[in-house]
Amino acid sequence: MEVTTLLSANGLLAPSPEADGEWEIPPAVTDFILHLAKRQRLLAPGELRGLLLDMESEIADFGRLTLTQNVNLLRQCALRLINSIQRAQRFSSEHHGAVVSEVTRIKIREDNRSLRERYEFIKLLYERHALPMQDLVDVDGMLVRLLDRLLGLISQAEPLIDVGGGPTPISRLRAHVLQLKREARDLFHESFNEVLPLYNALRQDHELAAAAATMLEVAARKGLDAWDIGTHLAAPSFRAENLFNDYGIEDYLHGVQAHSAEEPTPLISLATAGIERSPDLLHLEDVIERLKENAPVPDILAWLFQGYSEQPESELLCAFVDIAADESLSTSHADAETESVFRGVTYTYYPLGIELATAA
Amino acid sequence: MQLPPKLEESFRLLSKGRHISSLDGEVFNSLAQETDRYRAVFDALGYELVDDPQGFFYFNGTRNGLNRTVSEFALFTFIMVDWLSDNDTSIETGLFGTVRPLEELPHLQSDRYRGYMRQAGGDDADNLRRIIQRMDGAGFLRLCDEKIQFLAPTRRILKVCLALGKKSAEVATMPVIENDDEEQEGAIA
Repeated sequence: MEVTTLLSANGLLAPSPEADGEWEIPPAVTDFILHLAKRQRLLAPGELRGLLLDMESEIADFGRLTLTQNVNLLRQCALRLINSIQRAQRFSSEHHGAVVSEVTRIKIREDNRSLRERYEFIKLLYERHALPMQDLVDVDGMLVRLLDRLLGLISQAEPLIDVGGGPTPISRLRAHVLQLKREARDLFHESFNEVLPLYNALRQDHELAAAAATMLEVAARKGLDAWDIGTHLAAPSFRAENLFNDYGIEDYLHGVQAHSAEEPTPLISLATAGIERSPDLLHLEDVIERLKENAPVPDILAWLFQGYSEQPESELLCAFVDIAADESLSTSHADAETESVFRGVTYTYYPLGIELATAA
Repeated sequence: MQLPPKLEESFRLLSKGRHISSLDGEVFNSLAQETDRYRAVFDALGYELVDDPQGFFYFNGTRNGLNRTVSEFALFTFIMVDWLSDNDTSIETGLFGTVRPLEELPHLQSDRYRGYMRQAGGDDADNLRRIIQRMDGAGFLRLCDEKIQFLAPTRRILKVCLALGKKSAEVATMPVIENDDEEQEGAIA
């Protein structure tokens, strides 16, 4: 009894409101013991929200005191805010640790839960803890908005209690705010990223299990035919004539194999009516060969005009010059001038002739 | 036109209703490498080759005469999923990551599952083995040394399970409208 009185006097025990003669450990002491035991617990979303609402009220006070420049009260308010921020830091750290611990237990199958129980648990973790926490610490969440607002007020309050660069409650408050802003976001996002993939995997398994249970229940009541599963899981009906030793298919496949596509008809050909055809190219070697065959030829130019009348005169004159310069041919000029008419042009010249097929 | 190299073998397997997965070795590799060529030939023969993104091939066929067989395959798989959901850590791992001895299968180990099995030809070991052998032939699982391992094509059954289960659950939760007409019995699909 003395021990109980002593603990109660020091605030480590409190009378239970439920029954006379019973005692309970105050929440603050519980938190302290858990902290000493390094045991993490899942944070209820309402806990952090409640703390943030308290902070919101204190931040409003901080703003008013900054405006009235009440330095003493401002210092005390800053210290209270530091205390609140430290509690929020502890909450977020413990919550993160608890989430990671639970996820790890599930991953290494230490939780001894069935699939259905495990899904229910992770669903609770995701929907009751991860999602609301995410809302609080998101970029436009309540925590970030409050801390940004507080940082703005700190900038206004700092000059009021500046002691020449030394640490003040305001500068300490700024450091704590920045730390909480960074850590809370990182820790909660890390927790969220631990929970989400597990939640998705278990949800898929759970949906499949629920579907299988439903199908079995339908089979129990109405029989397998009620599934009409062939409509959704159709398989080819096997028939002997589907085999390749069926001659019809074999012939068909050989026909396919032997098939070669015909070359398509050209859109325009050299013989197309109404389209002027270009002359064949004039090959000097062929011309000389033909000239040798026809030798003796007394007037090579006239011979060219006559034998290659479809060629342009420039081509023929070039060929004539080449023939004249070809030393392998036995050519000579006549003494008397002559004339030839080709495509309306009269050429006057001393004819070049060839007597023999080759030069002497 | 050059015919695909494993045409005859793949056609023989697919036309019997087999689902070809990586376990089928060269036939699967050839189908995977030259899917379009195979598809062109099978199209000409009147068969639709399905290249499932989960990593297997099959002919999309008709339901003629095979409804009962695929129902038995589905029942075998659904019982397995149901049992895993109560007794294993993950359905995915329990189905595809585990080689399970026949004597450990749950299908004949409880009255409830035996009741389902009676609808699929009997609640005895011979009938269970018959279904397993047919599933082995169809490529849904592999039977080796009195052990089974589910293969990728089983995901086709699971997909259908999810679709039909969801639909059936929706029907079950719909409000019942009383009328004088005879209650409609029939397909859940």
